[in-house]
Amino acid sequence: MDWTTLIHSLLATQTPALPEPALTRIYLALGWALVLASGGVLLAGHLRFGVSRQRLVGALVLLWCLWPGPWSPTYWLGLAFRAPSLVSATLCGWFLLRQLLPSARMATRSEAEWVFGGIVLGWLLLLDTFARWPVSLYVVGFSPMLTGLMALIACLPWLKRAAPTGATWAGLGVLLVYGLLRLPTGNLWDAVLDPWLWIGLHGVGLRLLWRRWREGVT
Amino acid sequence: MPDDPLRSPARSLGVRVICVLGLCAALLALDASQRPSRPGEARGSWPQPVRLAGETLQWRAGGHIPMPPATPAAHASALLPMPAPHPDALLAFWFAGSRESGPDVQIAAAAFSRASQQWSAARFVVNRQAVGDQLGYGVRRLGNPVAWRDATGRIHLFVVATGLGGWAAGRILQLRQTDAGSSVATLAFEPVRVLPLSWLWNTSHLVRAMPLPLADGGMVLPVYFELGTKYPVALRFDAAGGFVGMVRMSQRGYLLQPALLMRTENEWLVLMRDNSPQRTLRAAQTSDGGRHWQDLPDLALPNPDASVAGLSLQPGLMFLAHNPRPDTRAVLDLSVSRDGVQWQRLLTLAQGEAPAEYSYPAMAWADDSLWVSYTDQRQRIAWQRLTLRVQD
Repeated sequence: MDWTTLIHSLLATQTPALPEPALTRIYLALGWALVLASGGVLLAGHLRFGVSRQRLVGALVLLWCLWPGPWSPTYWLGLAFRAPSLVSATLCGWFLLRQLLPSARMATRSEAEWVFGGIVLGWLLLLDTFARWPVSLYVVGFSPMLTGLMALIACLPWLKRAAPTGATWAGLGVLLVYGLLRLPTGNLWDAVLDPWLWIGLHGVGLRLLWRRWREGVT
Repeated sequence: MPDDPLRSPARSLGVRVICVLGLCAALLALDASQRPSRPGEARGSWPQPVRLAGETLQWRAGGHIPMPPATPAAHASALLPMPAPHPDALLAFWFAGSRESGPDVQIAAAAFSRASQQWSAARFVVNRQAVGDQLGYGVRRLGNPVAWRDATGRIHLFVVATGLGGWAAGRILQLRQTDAGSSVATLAFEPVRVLPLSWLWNTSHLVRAMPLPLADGGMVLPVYFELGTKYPVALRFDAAGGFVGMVRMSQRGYLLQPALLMRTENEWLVLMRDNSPQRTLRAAQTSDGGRHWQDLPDLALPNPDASVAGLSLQPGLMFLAHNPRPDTRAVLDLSVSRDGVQWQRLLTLAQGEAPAEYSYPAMAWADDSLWVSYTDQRQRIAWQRLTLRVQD
């Protein structure tokens, strides 16, 4: 294969590999289970439940989401919003581990570059959905080159620091799962950012800006 | 004494760069290894050889397709021609229930027997509760079935399956035939997937018109986005029904329900319903098998913001079933064209007084006949069979 052919095949958007339907169904339940369980644990924490009761809440919500059929929230969340992105599922899993295993040493800092990068990307994809760009951005998510580009972006902080950060490892992990299983849809944009995560990033971004402004004032 | 980069790699920018590039290359290679090979150039395929000196149509038969019991509403039929050894000449699919968008709406099917020259009894072949159970999540409503046979003869159904909201919250669900395919009485489908077409919860892509078959056994399925902005999209599938890619067909934001017509193997035309106040059909074309599309000047074809059906039988012979009046769907015409731009009315398929509605036509070529089906008053599916008479 010559270089031109190789470059064309890496840039091609007409070679999507989509996930197996059975795998999609498993991930749908697992993804929403992680998201809702982290919400339940967060709420239990605000209600000043102890760790053991928080674990119980998380476990019950997990089981509820994994329950098949219309009695499960997965059935209705899938109807309305499909599956959460791999990044959302990873963040929620991370949160659950941090809350429920206090002995685990895990980073908690929101990194501004990821937050604001995600917000910008979401706006680009939203406007693309309504055909506001001359070419389709969503289609680029089917290209293999985007996986390499995203891996490079995930590793950029490592080039500035001596060791990879947790965000870099998480990003590479997401890309590895996507590369192997194609979840959740076979389009990389759906793996790295979903609309609920994007909406949440706006809140995190505003909080970061507020903190920086207050630090500047004081 | 400076650190040895080989003994303290974490501190060496060079080693970090090599590690990063290695990781990126490994992930890229992993991703690329999962993918199929690139498809060849898309070339359209003509339905079957038709030898004609002129285009005179002779009405041969018509009527209504039987409805499933206790279903007062029906809409949006699609026709699927079957190959000659099959006992049925063609299959019809449509959605039916107590009312459009009703929770009891299902996808119905019937077959036209070659032996009896009659339609079979209709039966439901796709049910939203069963689909929801198989997908693992709910489907609120079903509609707009479009059928296609892959290279192995297996039927694929593409239907609109709505999520949270009305039709504009639709997604396109691909289903695949699971039975042996000998009779409509045993016809059964399983969901393959909801096609991934947009980032915003995959909302608002719908399907309506029949696909354009390709020489490689695959096809191009015209679909459209409908939430606020309305634009047409061409989806390509391989010979097994695998999703290959998507391309927008127009830069205009008020066009929906595209219908594909073939001029030559790689030069196609798309006619689209206009949602703007102008009430006329719009067109775009491609000259490279659907990779790039250009909008065309407006056609002189009024249309009341209603779906049309197009069929190319051979180079220079295209048919269009359409509502020709801008104010009503009470008239349904069949027109013919050599280039897809200049159209001439051949006959009126159905007409009545407003608010009568004859709409959402579908066409197919089977057994040396042109078959047209359409919605009759949103209550039943009517059909007509027309034979092309050769002029000397």
